[in-house]
Amino acid sequence: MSLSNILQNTRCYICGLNLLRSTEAQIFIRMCSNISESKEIVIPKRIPRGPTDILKALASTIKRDPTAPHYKFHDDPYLIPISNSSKRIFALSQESGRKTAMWVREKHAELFQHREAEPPIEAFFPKIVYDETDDVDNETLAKLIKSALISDSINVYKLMQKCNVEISEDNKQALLELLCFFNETEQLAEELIEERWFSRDMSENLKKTWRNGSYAEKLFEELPKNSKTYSAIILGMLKYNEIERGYKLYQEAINEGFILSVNVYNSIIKVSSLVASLEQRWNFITENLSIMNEHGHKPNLQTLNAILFALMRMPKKSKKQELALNTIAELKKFGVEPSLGSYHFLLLIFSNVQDISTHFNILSSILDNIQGKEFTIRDSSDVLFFFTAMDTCRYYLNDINIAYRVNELLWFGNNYNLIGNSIRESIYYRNFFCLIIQSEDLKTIFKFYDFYVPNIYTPEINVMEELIKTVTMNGAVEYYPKLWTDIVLFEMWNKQQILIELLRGMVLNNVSCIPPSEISIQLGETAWSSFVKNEDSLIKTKIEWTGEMLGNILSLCLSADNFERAGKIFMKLVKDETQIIGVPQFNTLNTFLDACIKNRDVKLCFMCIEYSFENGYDNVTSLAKKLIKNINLSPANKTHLAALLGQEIFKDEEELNNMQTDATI
Amino acid sequence: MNCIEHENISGEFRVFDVRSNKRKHAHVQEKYTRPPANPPREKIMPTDQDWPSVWPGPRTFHPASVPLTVRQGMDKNQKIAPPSKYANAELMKIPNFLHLTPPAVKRHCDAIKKFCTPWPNELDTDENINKHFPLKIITNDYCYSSPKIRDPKARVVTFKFPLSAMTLNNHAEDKIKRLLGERFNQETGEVTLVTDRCPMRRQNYDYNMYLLVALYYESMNVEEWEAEKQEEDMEYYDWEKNPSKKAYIALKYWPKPVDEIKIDEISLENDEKAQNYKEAVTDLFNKGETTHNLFKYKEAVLKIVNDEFQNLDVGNMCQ
Repeated sequence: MSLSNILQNTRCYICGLNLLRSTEAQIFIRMCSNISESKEIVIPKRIPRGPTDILKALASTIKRDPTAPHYKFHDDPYLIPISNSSKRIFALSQESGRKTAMWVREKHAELFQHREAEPPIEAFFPKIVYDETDDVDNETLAKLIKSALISDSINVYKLMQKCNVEISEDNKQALLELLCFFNETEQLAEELIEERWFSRDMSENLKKTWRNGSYAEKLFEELPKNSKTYSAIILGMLKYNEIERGYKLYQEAINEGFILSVNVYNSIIKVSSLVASLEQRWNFITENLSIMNEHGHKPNLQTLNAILFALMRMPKKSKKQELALNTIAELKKFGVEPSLGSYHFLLLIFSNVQDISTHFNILSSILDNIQGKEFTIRDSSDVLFFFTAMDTCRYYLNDINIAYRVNELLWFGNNYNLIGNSIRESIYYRNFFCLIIQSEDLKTIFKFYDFYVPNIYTPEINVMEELIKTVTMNGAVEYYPKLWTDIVLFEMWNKQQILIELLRGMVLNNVSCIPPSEISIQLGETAWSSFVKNEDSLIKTKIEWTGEMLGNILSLCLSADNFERAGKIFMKLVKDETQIIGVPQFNTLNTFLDACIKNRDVKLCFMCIEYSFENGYDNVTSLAKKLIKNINLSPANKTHLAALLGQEIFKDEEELNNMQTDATI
Repeated sequence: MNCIEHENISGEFRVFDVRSNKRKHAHVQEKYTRPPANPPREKIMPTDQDWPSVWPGPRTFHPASVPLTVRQGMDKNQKIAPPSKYANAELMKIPNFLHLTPPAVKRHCDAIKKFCTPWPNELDTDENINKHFPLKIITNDYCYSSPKIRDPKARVVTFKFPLSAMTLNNHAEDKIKRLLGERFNQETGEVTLVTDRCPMRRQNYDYNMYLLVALYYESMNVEEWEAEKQEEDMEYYDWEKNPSKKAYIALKYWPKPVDEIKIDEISLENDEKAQNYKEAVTDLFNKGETTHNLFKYKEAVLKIVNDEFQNLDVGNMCQ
């Protein structure tokens, strides 16, 4: 207890006479009876509030801090993940630990019989295993069904049948609904949020996953046929894409005159593309809507979204845009306010329209409608809206202003909860950033970059490539070192295209001068570290150096006046000649030779000439002549050179010598 | 298949190692190199950032998240400056209030204002509050970072009220004070009732309420044995019942013998001197022998004595 952090809250009520019961009130004198009669004290009623309302009010004062990592990570430089892969690894490792703990608790339930918490936390209790010795009754079954424990519920149900315990109708119906809803598969525990967040399941599953001959079907056969049982089994089948049988049962139920639940009609409308033919589809939808009407159901939000979903699946040439707008208008009369999911479908319905202005109109009018509103999830498709909206902004509209409006809406209130999952979030930001990079100036780009990167979003390789290209185009050399640091942190330093772009950009924008400017030195440093990082790394898939890349590093090292490093790069070029694709530019070799001559390194000079000769440059002789002109070569070296390039290269020199000797004579 | 013969030959025959092939080509696991740690985030914090969002709640100090150049601790020889914030355990030990900056507190107050009701205008002063709401009920809540949310101390309920707020006659007031004993503060006149005998707060509250009612009505009751109260049992000095009155009357009616006068029947309401004397004596006994009280007593006595002597025929006496 001494370790625990004790907060003490003293509460002091001042009790008035009017709060006491009559007997107790008599005890105290009404001292100022005269005053209290003339001026009655009115104590305002307590404003009702829930147990967490105060906490929520306090939480609303806090905004997202872009310099901090997400709260699931530790706020410590060594433990903050930066790259996309490390974010994933860190979060899932933590969750894996949690899962391990759950597994241990389940496996060794006997060790966890103590009740530490007060009041006891039911989720921490060891799992109860039901067998024939247990007394099972309706209450146990109802509890199991309520906590969605599928295999346990089936077990207990079977046990009860075996022991001839009468099972209530409600429980049977509830069990059927449970089995149909989950398709008899155990669900991922609710507390494993990270696993859900990082799940890569993006496509809507259209494969049939319904279990034929499952226990749900058996139970359906056992139970008396009524609208409830029909609704449950049809909903289950449609949810798991057993459409043919589901539809058959639906027709059966309609023919028998059962009034099904409203969700059934919605689901049937949703799968209309798989039931009705192209021409008949709209008729099919309206028919079902009229059946709904006959059965006394009012359409709800799910009806709207189902219709829009069905319209989305309609062929390009149909009048689906018009139908969709009419549907929304019609359902508004019933008081159905479209959710974000409806807008998502609407955007997709309009996505095939060639005319950009219609597109612009639809998204901007949607935004006009919902700007500055806070949303909560009302339909499962709501989480798709922001993703689709940004996608439309980039690919159809190419309009940064609309993108800003979408982003503003996303960051308004608690709307960020509707971003979906990690993949949708990163695609959203990928589109957003590509748009910004395309349309904004460098200063604005980096303003956004500094805010979102790396804690909210880590750019992917192609986004980074685009960014480097933009920096190159703008000739903003000062950004290269920062970009390289980030590339290392994002674990992209071994990505070919990034390095190619980075080195190319640095060489293009580098201005060499003597002595080297500070920025040249920085660029040289950056280039060298990109080389060293890749050379020293132990990973298997090594980068494939090209002649151009190494040439660029070479020239950057030279302009930073670092001959030693340049020599090392050149040795790499010579040593791995067979593996390196392409050759550096002639200019680079020319400057390198100059540097060699300046540093009086004859051996490197010769290697440089040999290398250029072997790789078939046109102007090798000019290099050789430069060497002969600037350095007094030994006879051995001369013969070597002559063997390479022929005796002619010495011609000029001989002539010169002859002239000199003539002159002396 | 390549069957590689083992190089170690034991005995006469060479050993044929089937596994050696595998061992030779054992998979060399790729070594994961952690990317370098990013620079502390205090370095990239903008100067106009929203600090309450950065440090929203109580937390142990972390140098990378606090953009202040704080220092803590000291060098033994006092030759170098106090250690900086990095790797400084001293800073982690002390509690910090970085989450309670004035703007943060103000924002919290604004956020929870909507749950508050206005204070009643009639209760503008402490005096008024005490007049209209004499009873104070005090309870404690405890908040732990342990699996248990209960605390045995939370059951204690304290009632506080001034005794003057009760409608009591002299007898009842005397009796309730005797019943309360040390729960009654003589100096402030406040009654404090603490209950902790029941396991639940609600039960203790109810018990306290019961005590209040019981105390009140018990003090109102007059039992038979209370008539046997003696002068020694009196909790205060009552001049009317004490020999002092007798002495005064004896003086007043002298030379009539005192035994012939019925002292109880004589009312001294209109006698100013008697009232002064009575007050002085009572104060002397009830409030203690202060200089002021003694002086008052002296004055009262002198007045009586002077007057009485003047009234008497002094000359006769001398004769």
